[in-house]
Parts: sequence; C-alpha cells; structure tokens
Amino acid sequence: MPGGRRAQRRADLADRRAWSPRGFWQAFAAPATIYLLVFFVFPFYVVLAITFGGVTAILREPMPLWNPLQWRPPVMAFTLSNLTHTDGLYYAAFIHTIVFVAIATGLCLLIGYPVAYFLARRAGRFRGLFLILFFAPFWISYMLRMLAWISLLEDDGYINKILTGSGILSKPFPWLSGRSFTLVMGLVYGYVPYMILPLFATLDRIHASQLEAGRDLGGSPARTFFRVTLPQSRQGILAGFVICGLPMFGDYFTQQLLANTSGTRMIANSVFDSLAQPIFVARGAALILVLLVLLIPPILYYLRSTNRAAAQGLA
Amino acid sequence: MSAELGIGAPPPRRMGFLARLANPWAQTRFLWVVAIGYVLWTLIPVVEAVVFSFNQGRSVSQWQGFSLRWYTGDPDGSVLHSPALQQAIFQSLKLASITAIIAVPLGVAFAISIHHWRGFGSGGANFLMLFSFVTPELILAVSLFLLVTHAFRFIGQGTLAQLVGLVVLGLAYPVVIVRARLVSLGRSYEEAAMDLGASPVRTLGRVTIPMLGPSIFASAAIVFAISLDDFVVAYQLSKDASTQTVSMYIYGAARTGPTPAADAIGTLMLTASTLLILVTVVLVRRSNRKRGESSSLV
Amino acid sequence: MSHPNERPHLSRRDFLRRAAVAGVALPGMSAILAACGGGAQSTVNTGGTGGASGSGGVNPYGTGGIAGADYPLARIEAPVTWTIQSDNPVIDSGLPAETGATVRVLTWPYYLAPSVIKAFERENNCKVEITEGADMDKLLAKINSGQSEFDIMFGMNVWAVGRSIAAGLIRPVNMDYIPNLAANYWDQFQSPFYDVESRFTLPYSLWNTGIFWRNDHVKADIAGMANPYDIFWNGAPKDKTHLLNNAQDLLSLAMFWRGNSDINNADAATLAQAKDDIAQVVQATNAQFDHIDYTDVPKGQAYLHQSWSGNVSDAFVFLPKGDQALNLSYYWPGHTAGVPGNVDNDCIMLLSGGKAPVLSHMLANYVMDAKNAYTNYTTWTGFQMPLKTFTPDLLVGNAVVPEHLSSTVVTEDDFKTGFRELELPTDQDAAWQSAYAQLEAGV
Repeated sequence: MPGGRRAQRRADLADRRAWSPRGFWQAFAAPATIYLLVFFVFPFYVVLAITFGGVTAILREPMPLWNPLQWRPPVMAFTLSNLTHTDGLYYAAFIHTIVFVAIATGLCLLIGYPVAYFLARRAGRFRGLFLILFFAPFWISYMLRMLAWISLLEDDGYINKILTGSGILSKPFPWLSGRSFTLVMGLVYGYVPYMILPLFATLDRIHASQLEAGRDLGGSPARTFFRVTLPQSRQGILAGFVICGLPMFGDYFTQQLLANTSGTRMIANSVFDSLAQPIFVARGAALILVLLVLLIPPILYYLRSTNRAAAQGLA
Repeated sequence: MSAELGIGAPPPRRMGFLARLANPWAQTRFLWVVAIGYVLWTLIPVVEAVVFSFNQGRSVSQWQGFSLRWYTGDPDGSVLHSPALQQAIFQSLKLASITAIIAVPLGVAFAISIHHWRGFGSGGANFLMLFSFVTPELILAVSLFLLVTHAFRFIGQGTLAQLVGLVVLGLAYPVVIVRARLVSLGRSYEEAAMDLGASPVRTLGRVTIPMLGPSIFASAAIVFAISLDDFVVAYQLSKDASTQTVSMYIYGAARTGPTPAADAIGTLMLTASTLLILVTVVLVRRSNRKRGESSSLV
Repeated sequence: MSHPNERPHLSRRDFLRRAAVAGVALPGMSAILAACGGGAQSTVNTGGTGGASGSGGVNPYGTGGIAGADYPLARIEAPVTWTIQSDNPVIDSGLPAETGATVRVLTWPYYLAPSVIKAFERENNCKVEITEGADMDKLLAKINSGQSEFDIMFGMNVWAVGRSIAAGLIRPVNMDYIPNLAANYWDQFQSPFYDVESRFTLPYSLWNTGIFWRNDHVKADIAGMANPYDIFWNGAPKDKTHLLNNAQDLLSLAMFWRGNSDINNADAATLAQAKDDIAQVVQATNAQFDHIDYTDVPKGQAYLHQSWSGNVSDAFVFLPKGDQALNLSYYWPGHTAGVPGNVDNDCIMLLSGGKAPVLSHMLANYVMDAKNAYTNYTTWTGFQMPLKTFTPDLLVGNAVVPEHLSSTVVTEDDFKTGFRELELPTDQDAAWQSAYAQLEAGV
C-alpha cells in the first residue's frame, strides 16, 4: 500500500473521526471507569487513611485521618517489622503463604495442563460434555465443596473409612488437624479450574496444522510437545499462574475450614483476624497495603506480557 | 519399493517397544485417564454433599438413612421452615441478579468503547479494568469494608455495599467476553453499515448490539453464577441475618457445627446454577446455529 | 411523624457519624471533638494508654469501680452504678407494643430456642430476626458498626458491658416491663456489682469453664487430680486437644493452672508466663482454638477440650437419639479444693440503636419467664440460667443433666468460690489481645 502501514493507519483514524464525534466512544467507557475509580481506586485511599490514622478512645476503633500531613507511621512500622523479623506476628504466616501458594500453583499446573490439553485436543465429540464437567466448579459453590471435603476427611468420614477398612491405616488419620498437606490440596482443589481455563484457551488456539508439521518433520510426539506445543502455550501458563496463584494470597477460609491451627496460618488469616479486634483493624489495613504492593509487580508483568502478546496476535 | 507404495502414502509404522511408548494412542489413553480422574476428583465431593442433604440424621459424615427432613420435614432446621435458610437463598438470588443487571451494561459499554477507542487514555482504562480482575478478592473486600464503615457511612454494610462490591468483581467478565467477540467479528459489518449511511448510534443499536446478543447473554449468566457463590466480598460487607448469603451460611455452619441443612441449600443453589448454565448453552448454541456460525460462545 | 420514644435531637454519636460522612479533612478533628465535650472520642495513637478516670470520682459514665479506662471498671469489691445519659433515656412505662415490627436479635449460634421465639412472634404478632455472631468480638463489632439497628443482644460477657454502656450502645432498662427478674432470678442478680440496680443489663446464662473429655480415649482421672488443669500439660492427646478461642479464657487457663486466681490484675510478667505456658501446650499437641466442642468431642474430632459447661450440655443435642453419652465426661476444677476456676454469666442487653424498644423489653421478659427459660435451657442452649427454680436436684432428677455430667450445673455457692473474668484497663486489655494474637500466629 502506498506510504506503508503508517499512512494506512492515519487514513483509518481520519475515517473513524469523520464517522463519529469526538469523545463518542470514550463516553461509553465512562460509567464503568468512574465506577471503578470510586469503588476500586478510592477505597485504597481510605485504607491509607486508616493505616496511618488514629484510634477512638472508648471502643478503640480505628479513626481515619484524611489529611496526609497528619499521618502517623507506628502501625505501618509495626506491621513491616512483624513481617520481616523471624519472631514477628506475621512472619510465619508470610512464609507459609509463599511456600503453600508456590506448591499449590505448581500442582495446579501439573494437574491442569494435561486436563486442558485433553479438552483442547483429544476430547473429540465429547468436548461439550467435558467443557461443562471441567468448568462446573465455577458455578458450584466453593463453600459447598469445602463442606463436602470436611465431611469426607473427618475421622468418621468416608476417606478414613476406606483407608482403615482396606487396612492401609490402622486408625483414622486426623486430616483436619492442621496438616499443611490438607491445606495445599484444598487450595489446589479450589483453584485448579482457574489454571485450566487460560491453558485451555491457549492450547485451543494452536492450529492442528502446526502439530502435524512438527510430526511430518520427523519429531516424535514428545518432541513435538516440547518444541511446538509447550512454547506456544507459554502465555497461557503465565496467565494461569496469575489467575490461579494470585487469588490464593487472599484465601483465609480454606485454612480456617481445613487446617485451623497456627502452624498453617496464611497472611490472609492475619488480615482477617486483625479485623475482628477494633484495636487491630489498622494493622489489617496495613497488611492489605503491603500485600497490594507485593502483588503489583507480577500483575504488571502479566498485563504487559498480555499486551505484547496481543500486539503480536498471539494471545 | 517406495515407488510402488505411491506418493502420499504414509510410511509404514514399526511397533517396537519404545515405539509403543511413544505411540499417540498410548498418550491419548493416559490423557483420558487424567480427564476422567479429574472429573471424579472434582465432582465426587459435590455428589457427597448432594447425597447427604437427604440424610435422616444430623450428621454430615455418617449416613443415617434417606429422608427429606432437611428440605421439608424438620420444624426448625429445614429449608421450608427455617427463615434463616430461606433468607439466605433469597439474598443470594437477589444479589446475583441485580449485580448482573448492573455489571453487564456497564461492561458491555466499556468493551464497545475500548474496541473503538484508540487514543489517549484507552490503555489506562483497560489497565484499570484488568487490574480489578486480577486483584485478590480479599484486598477488594477489606478496602470496600473500610470505605463503607469509615468514609461512605451512608452506604454502610448491607445489601447495597454487597452489590457495590459484587459489581466491581463482575465488571471484567462482560468486558473480556464481549471484547473477544467484537474482535472475532471484525469491522466488516460496521463498515458496511457506515457505507450505507448509518450513524454511529444507529450502527450500534441495529448492528453491533444484536450481533453481540449471545455474548451479552452468556456474560450475564456468568456474572450471575459468579455472584451467586461469592463469599469474601459478601461476608465482609454484610450487616446481619438479612444480608446473609448461601455461601456465608454454609461457611458459618461448617465452622460451628454443620447439619445437612447446609448441604440442602447448597444443593438447591447448585441445581439453579446448573439449570441456568444449561439453558445458556442451549440458547447460545441455537442462536449461533441460526447465524450459521460455528458453535462457540465467544 | 416521630415515635415518642425517639431521641428528639442529634446525639453526640450522630454528629460524629455525619462528620465522618462529609469525609472532610478535619485537621483539627481531635480539637473539635475535645471541644464537643466529654472528651468521649479523641484520637489516640494506636496502643496508647486510655485516659484514666478518677476512681469512684466524678466520671460522666457512672460511679464506683476502679480506674484504668475512660469509664469505671467494675469489680466485686467496687461495684459500678451507671449513669443514665440524657440523650439515651429510659422509655416510658405502659407503652403498647410496636405493631407489625421486626425485632432484630443478635446472639451466639444455638443460643435462643426457636420454639420460644416462634411462640413470642405468635403472641405478639411480630417478626423476630436473629443474626448470629461466632465470637464476642464479632458480636461487638456488629453493634459498633454505627449502622446497626439491632434491638437486643443475648449473651454479652460481663467484661464487655462497661465499654458498651459508655459508648452509648445500650438502652437503659425500664424494670416495669421486666417483672420476671425479681420473680424468678437469684438474689445476687437483682443488683449485680457490674450494674447496680440493673439499669442497663439483665442476666442471661451462667456457666463454668472446665475440662470436657472423652473418657474412652483419655483415661486419666481428671476429677481426682490434685490440679485437674495438669492434664493439658501432662498427657494431653496430640492432634486431639482443643482450647477456647478468646484471650480471656485461654490465658486465664494457664494462670489458674499455676494457682494464680487474680486474673483481672495480671502484670506483664504473669501474662508473658501464661502465654508461654499455652504456647507449650500448642507445641506439644498441635492444639486448635475453637468453641465447637459440642460437635467435636462427641464426634471424636477432639478428645480433650477446654469448655464452657453449657456447650457440654449442648453436645447432647447432636447425639443420635438414645445415646446416653457415657463416654463423655466434664469436670470443673473449681470443685477441687484449693484450685481456682472460672465461673461467669452473660447478659441480655437492650440496644439503643433498635427501633422496637417496647417489644425488646417484652422479649427479654418473655425469655426470662420460668417455663420459657427451662425450655430454652433444656431443649436448645444447654446453658443454665440463674433461676431460683433451677436446682441441681431438679435438673439431675429430671434427667436434664445426666449424673456423670453433674459438674456442669452451676450453683450460687460456685459463684462464691469461682473467679470471674472482668473488664480490664485499656492497656492491660491491649496486652491480653496482643498475647492472644501471638498465640494465634504461633509466635
């Protein structure tokens, strides 16, 4: 085309502007954007005001200070020092969280990848059925499934009944007495659908012809997988890590339901418990801020790489 | 010899031991095992919960016989007789439907806008939307909780606050779905309308939105289903028994002594959601078939 | 059209609420508030000390008690008479019940019998909506939220009474609506030390805090031990030991074990020692903190549980019919000579934010009726009430309480030998909460 892509783009823009009045399309985004600004962004200012704020006298509830010039650092200092020192209130929970989330996300990938691959490439005429079955957890209450697991894992539940009945165990195993294993498996169970979804989306897009080409060129199925499929699903894996792993940082209820002891506490429990005591609410707010700051880099990385992939026409 | 086989004939395969391992059929069998295993692992607890909702006794782990006690029989604890259980169901349905009604139009408008808007600010708005999608729910719940209890006290905890939070959560889904659909539809239809002299508004109303029909419906169904089961935001922003949802009820029961009644309301919600999803799938398939396109939601 | 019982002018609390709504940056907020009078709400740095009020001096909230917070702290030897504030008056006598109203009740799980509530609804043509909170802190947070329209709360611990009254959350009682208090209840609750003349509180349940165990798994003769608390440190089953999940009960357990009964006056060293002692139990047994012993112990999820006596009775409700539960045992260490134990009561509180004050009074009186209290206790809550008619002979005789669990029955004498958890001075309370937070965090 004459003048190259640049010229074409300029022509497109001119066409579009001639077609619609200025600000027309922006206006459609306005309601949602304003809504997010008020109810997503502004609340973080409230969190700041409470973290760096004061406390009322009788009930010792948090009192936000709106003027940044008046902000006081003790609560944030307390929180940070308790996060970083080995004997701090939040240190153990912080370490647990990182370890548990890493392991759980890894397991989600190990389990989710074959499942997504199956759905994308091998389900054939059963694809619709498996789509519904695999993604059923999205519309089945998480709490109901956790209640079911509690029932199954109790001393008189079916899992122990099967294990003792078949002789594998001599007496029921206390699965729900603060075991990291139970907690990690609970996290995996709850969040693996979030890993399968982006993986499926990516694997689905890989054209069959590419895989055939790989095989025609003499590659074994294993080689085709590692050389063709896996690299192309990189974006899906990254998306899976973010969509599956990040929510785990905010999960307090799985620990409360499946492994309610201090040895398995996660950082979300520290936040949740802080909110129960009026004098500690500000600490909870501080923890939220720290969590946000820590999670921003991976989120940004993911968003950047999504944009880049979209620009390249991949994701 | 190869000449006799002819051009295009596949080379003969040798089925040695190693070759059998590398056999794609073996690989498929492994995947089938994984798939079936995953389905069982995912759904057996659900089956357990549904079955135990019909338990005769109070236990959620020991089967004591079949009965409709927790649905209709028990004078205090059954769904039919317990105002708390009924209220939870009603609140869940109310929150989910209103959230869908608010979030879908906002999200669809946003998606249409982003699709056309190439200039300054579109990246920022888009970024904000995606950021709200990946932020852990607890961060959102706590910040909103602090917002309504210390800044916007006229909202306060309660149904309105829960709705505010659920809409933030649900906004991104219509955006993602509709946007993908717009991209796959391409510009040809709009450009055709433009060539025929239609104004942007007319194009929107007469061409774009009708074509987005299935996607809009699907995103409404998804927002509804997601909001129906939401826990963290609903819990943090609730006020009292009147704002308790099914998820909150089951959570509370699980922590203070569950009875099969918790399984019962969970089963009822599950049935409602499943029906909704099935209806959505059927409707979308049918509308896609009418348009002669391949059956896909997006 | 305003109800005659509604406060006619903007109260202090309403003003503060609206000021906050304006979200205005009030740089001199503390100055403004201090000027507003009473110094009721002033910004204090987190964890700072509360202003001490004169002991028995002129305190705007009440007379008596000891110093340590902005309001008087009640002690048995220093009873408190609360001042009824002008912006929160007693409702008039002889008013008719609100029609077609909803009474919003706040209470613990399994703490109000549905049959009693349904009967009240029928007799008074109203609706009762019950909201449950799992712990005292969560229940307090619900009333404190400033938005709350709860009418009445069943089960506020005595140690939370003072701050709630001082914060203006409690409606004073008009005793004309509550004849059942004088008619049915123990003498010591007519005018208790934490609320002389019962201006703001009504008694609800009693309990003692003891040891609940499965005698088929824990074979030790806990009742016969010289120091029954020893079982937690010597011989508690691993993975099957649970302790209560609040600062007061948990830390006082350790203090009682060491023979220290002055739990409302613990210095920093005693508190630190108690915290370490509990940490030791957690370390050895992987203990969980909860109060669902009524399902855990019969089911076998726990074999040894620090428990409130009422939860032990409640455990029966969860057993299959006909199960005599001979494998369950309970003992209150206070029954052993020379060993301190906790005995306590909680209160029915009428809440000032409620919109149905007359019905609230009537509901309180209804629940305090002898027959209804009996139904409430024996068919649902398991927590005994201090009614004159509830004697151990009656209860054991009527097979309400099985013989082998008779330690759950609390007598008036027990209140003389037992020790109560009372409201602590601000800084001590913060220290206890911090110690508990550390135990929760495993530090």
